[in-house]
Amino acid sequence: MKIKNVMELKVLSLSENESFARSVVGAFATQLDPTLEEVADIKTAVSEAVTNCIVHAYPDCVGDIRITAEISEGRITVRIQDYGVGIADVAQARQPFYSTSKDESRSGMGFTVMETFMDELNVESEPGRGTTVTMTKTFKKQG
Amino acid sequence: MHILVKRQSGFVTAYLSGELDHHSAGDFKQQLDDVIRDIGDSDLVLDLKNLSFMDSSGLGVLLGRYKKLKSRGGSMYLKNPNSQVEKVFNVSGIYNIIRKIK
Repeated sequence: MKIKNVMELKVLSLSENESFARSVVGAFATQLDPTLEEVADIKTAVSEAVTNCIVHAYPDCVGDIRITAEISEGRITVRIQDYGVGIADVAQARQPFYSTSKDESRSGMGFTVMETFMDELNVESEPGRGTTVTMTKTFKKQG
Repeated sequence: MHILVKRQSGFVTAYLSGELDHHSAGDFKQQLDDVIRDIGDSDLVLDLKNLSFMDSSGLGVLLGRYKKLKSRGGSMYLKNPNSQVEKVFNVSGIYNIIRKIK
């Protein structure tokens, strides 16, 4: 599939950047002429992935989060990478309501939301090295 | 993130506005806890009409407040979520616990 455009963003794992990151990727996706619902889906999934980096990848420090997105014919691929603690058991982490966080506010629904709001979700992780989440969404209307 | 509270006969409505994510969750939780402390055992309706965005960080906050209110004898209801917020609610199954009203 021919790539039409690419973006790359590096932010620190500060919660202020959750809104910034989802807005940037959402704005980039508008080049594909998506529906408002499709943009909201992408923003929600990005918000979940970036929040995971802040809460889980760098629990006691501030680190880098690298966000790249690629658009091709009617399709966006978003990659969110951290260099933090990593996930020992990805399959377990992806289970609905599973959370390692002691904070009662963490619902454990992050990966489930990403899966539901995007078409494809791939999670690669190595403990001590970091995690890369890759998500793809195909737009219904070809822009 | 902003919460406006209106007391009606028999229940209290809290109008939420802004974006509810992990960044704003702490502030939101604090404000809602203050509301719950003040309303005693009245029922609480959360009007989400002006909540423009919510991710799963909001679910934990809402469930936590629901439990708190329930332990005091009150109930919590959700009202007017936009389509993005509604989708997050549906994925989570939160409506099995906190009822949506019109």
